[in-house]
Amino acid sequence: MDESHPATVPPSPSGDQPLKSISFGGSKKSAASSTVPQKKNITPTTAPGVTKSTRKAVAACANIIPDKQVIIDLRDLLPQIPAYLLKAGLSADSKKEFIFKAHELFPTLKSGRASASLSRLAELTPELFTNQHPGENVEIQLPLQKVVSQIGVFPCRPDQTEVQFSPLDPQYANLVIEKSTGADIRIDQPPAPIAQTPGDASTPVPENTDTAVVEAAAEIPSELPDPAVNQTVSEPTVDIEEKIEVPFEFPVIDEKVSYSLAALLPNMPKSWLVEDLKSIDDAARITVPFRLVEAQLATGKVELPFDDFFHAVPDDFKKYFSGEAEESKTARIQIPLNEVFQNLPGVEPLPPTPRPSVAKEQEEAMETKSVSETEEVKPVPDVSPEVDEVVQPESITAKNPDPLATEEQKVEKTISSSGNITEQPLPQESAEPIVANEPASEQVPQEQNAESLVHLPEGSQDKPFIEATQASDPKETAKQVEPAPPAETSNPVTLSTLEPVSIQLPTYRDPAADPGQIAATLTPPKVQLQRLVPPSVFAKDISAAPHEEPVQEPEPGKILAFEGVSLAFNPHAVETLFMTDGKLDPRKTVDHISHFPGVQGVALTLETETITAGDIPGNFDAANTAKAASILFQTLEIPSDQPSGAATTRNVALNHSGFSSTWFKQEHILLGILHPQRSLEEAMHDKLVLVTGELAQLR
Amino acid sequence: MPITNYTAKEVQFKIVLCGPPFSGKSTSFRYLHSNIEAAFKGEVTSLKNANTDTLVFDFIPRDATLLDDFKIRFELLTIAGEIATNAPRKLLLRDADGILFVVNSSWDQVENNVQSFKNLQENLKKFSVTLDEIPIVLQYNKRDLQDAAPVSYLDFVLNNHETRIPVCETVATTGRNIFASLRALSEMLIQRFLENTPASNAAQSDAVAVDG
Repeated sequence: MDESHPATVPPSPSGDQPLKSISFGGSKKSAASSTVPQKKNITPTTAPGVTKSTRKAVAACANIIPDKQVIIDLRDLLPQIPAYLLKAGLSADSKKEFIFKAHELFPTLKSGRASASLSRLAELTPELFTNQHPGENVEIQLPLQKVVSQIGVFPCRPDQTEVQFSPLDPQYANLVIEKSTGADIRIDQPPAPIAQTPGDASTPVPENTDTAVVEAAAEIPSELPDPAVNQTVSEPTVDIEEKIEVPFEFPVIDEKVSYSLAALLPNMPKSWLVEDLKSIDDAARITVPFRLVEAQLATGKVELPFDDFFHAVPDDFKKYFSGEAEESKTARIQIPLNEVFQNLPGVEPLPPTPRPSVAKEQEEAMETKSVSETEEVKPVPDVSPEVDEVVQPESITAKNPDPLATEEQKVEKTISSSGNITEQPLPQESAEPIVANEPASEQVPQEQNAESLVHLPEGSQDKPFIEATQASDPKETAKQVEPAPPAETSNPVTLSTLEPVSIQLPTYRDPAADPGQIAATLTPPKVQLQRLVPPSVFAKDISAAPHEEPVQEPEPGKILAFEGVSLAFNPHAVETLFMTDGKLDPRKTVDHISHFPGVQGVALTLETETITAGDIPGNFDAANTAKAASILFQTLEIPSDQPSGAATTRNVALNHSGFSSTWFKQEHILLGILHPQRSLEEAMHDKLVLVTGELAQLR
Repeated sequence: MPITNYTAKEVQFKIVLCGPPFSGKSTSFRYLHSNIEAAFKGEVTSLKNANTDTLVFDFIPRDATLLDDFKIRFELLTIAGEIATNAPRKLLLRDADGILFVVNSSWDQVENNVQSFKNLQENLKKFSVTLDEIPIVLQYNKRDLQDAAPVSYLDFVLNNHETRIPVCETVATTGRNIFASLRALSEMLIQRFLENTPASNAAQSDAVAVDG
C-alpha cells in the first residue's frame, strides 16, 4: 500500500486484488459493463440523474440578481388589502399592476415565499390607497409562482467541477459507483487518463480582466465536458463572485429549445388540428429559437403563433395541423411554463422515467401483496450460507421447524462426522424473491466464509447452547433442535470436540436420519455448542454487545432480567412512594400498580428478577418483551418529554402478538404495563412515569 | 463517522432521509427497499412511540465489498408522517453519516421546505456539524406535479451554500432518480471515508464499535 496515502481500510491479508466490486444486487453482467472511468467521476455532480446547474444559473451565480421587473396584478392582492385602506370605487375588476424590482423581492423569495409590505404597495400605487398609513409590518403575500416565473433564472452556486481529492492510493482511485438495474455499485478499472497539457484545454483561461471573465462564462458550452477527461488539466477556477461586474447582460446566443408536442396539445386551438392526434409520445418535439420564448418569460406566459409553431412541427406531424381557418392565424398556442422550465437551454430535458428491469415484477408483486413494509420479513443479507466442504456420509441434518422463527432464523444445521456443525438457510417457502438475480452466496468470497468460522478451543468453559449427549437408544439418535434463540447464521459453529456426536433434542426428530449409522459413531462426551446472540437489526448496538453469552435456564416463576440492567436492587431501601415513609416493597408496589385503571398486568424487571402482578396471559412473554424494550431504549435513546426529578424516565409502547404494552425505564428499572387498550390513558401514563421514577431510587 | 467493524468486516454508514412532512421520504424509502435485491437488504423495522407522534425507525442494510472482504453497509433511516416535536428529528440525525433531504417541489410547499431545511441545519449544529461537512444530497421530489417549482428556484432557496449540494430530480412514486440520489450520496460517503479516515482512526473506530 502506498505509504503516502492514509490508508483507511486494512489491506487484504492475502494482498492480492484488494479492490473488488461493490454491488447492491445487480447482476455481474451489468457490473462488468461499467464505463465510468476515472476517479474524478466520483464527483456526485457527474453522476447520472444528478441535476446540474444550468449554464445561466451558473453564470449568474453568487449575488448577481437579475435586474428584472415583476408585474403583479392588483386582483391577485386585493383580497389581502384591508378595505378601509383602499379608496372608494375600487372594484375587483380594476386593472392595475404593481411593478416590483426583482431584487427587492429576493429577501423574501429566499425564504420560500414572496411578499411585500403594505406600505410598499401604497408607495407603488398611491392612487389606490387612502391617506391612512398602512403600516410597515403588514405583509401582503404575492403569488409566488408568478413572481418566480417572471424572474426566470435565479442565481445559484455552480456545480463542483472538480473535487479536491487527496492523492489516493491507486487501488482506491478507481472507485466508481453506478446504478444499472436500480441498485448497483461497482468498481471498475479505469482507462488510461487522457493527458492534456494546460494549453490544450478547450476553455482557455483569459487574463484577469472583468470582460474576459464574462466572455469565458459565456463560452461555457451547454454540455460541459466530462471533468474526468480533464483530469490532468489544472482547470481554471473562475471566481465569478469576485470578478464579474454587476449588472451585466448575457450575450445573445441563437439557441434553440425543443418542447414536447404532447405537452402542447392540450392548449392547442381546435381550429389548428385537422384530425385528432390519438397517440403521440414524448419523442415528437418542436424546436423553436429560444429568443421567441425568452422574451415572453417575464410575462409569466409563453405563447407561439401558428406560423412559428407550424414551421417547428416535425414533417411527419404537419399533416395533422392546418392554419387555413381565419381564426387560426390570430390564435396562439400557450406553452406550459413547466415545459418551458424543463427545457431551458443548457438544461437537458428530463429523460423518460427509467424503468428498472425488475420494477414491473416488483410492482405486480407489491400490488398483490399490498402489505406494509413494516410487516414484511425479508431475508437478511448477512446470511452467508456456509458450506461444509467435506461432508461425510455420516452427516446428519436437522431442520429447525420453529414456526415462530423468522426467515433468518430458519437454518439448516448439518453436523458432519468430523464434528463440524454448519448452518444453511432453509429454502424460503413464503418469501417472494423480488429480484431474480444471482444468489447472494455468489457474492460472498469463499475465503471469507472460511475465515468467519468460529472455532472453539477444546475445554471451552462457555456454557452450552445445545447440549449433546450420547443417545441411549440408537433409534432416538435423530437430531432434535431445542427451540431456542436462533444462532447467528453468518458465524457457523465448530464443536469443541472432533468426536462425532448425537444431539439430544427435546422436540423434533429428523425422520431422514439413519439411527444405525449414527449410533456406530457415537461416543459419550458432552459437546458444548456456542450460543450466539441472534442477529439483530440494531447493528451498531449489537456490535458493541457480546457475541457470546451463557445460557441460563430460567427458574420456574423467575424470569431472567434483561440485558443491560447492572445495578443492584436494594429491596430494603426507604422510599417515599405515595407519600409514605415506610419501607417500600416492590412487590406490593407492583401489585398496587396492577389495580390502576386501564392496567391489565405489570412486570417490574430488576437485576435479578422480574416481578409480575395482575392478569398476565400465559402466552405473553414478559422476559422477551422486556428485552425488546431494553434494546429499544439502548438503541434509540428515546429522549423523554416526561422528566421526573433529576433523572429521566423514558417510555416506549410495543404492540405485537395481540398485546399492547408500555415500558418505562429509568436507570436500572424497567416497568412494563400490559394494557388492553392500544395505549395507556394519558393520566395513567403520567402517573406511571412518576412511579417509575420513584422505583428507580430504590437502591 | 462510519463504523468500521473488524469483527464483522464491514464499514457501516448511516444515511438519514429527512425533509418536510409529505415530501415523499417514506415513499422514497419504500421504493429503495422494494427495489434492492432481497439478498442484500434487511427487513424494515418500524418503531412506534404511541405517546408522542408516530416514530418509525427504518433501515436497510446494503452490503457491498469495499476493499478486500470488507463490506459496506448502509443504514437508511427516516421518520414517517408528521412529527410534532423536534426531538425525534434531532435524534435521527445523531451520528448520521449522510443525509438525503427530500424536497417537496410543489409551489405551496416551498416555504415548508425552507423551514425544514433550516431546522435540519439547526439540528446538525447541535451536533457541531455543518452542511458543508456532512455529505448531503437534495432530492427534489414530486417533479411530476403540474405545479412543480423550477429547479433554479429551489436551488435558489435551498442550495445557496458555499458548496453546491448535488441535486436529483425525483419522482418517488415511480422511482425516477431515487437510486441516482442514493448513489450520489453513496459516492460522497465512500469517497469521504477513503479520504479522511486514516488507518489509525479506522482502528480506533473499530475499537469503539467492538468494545462498546
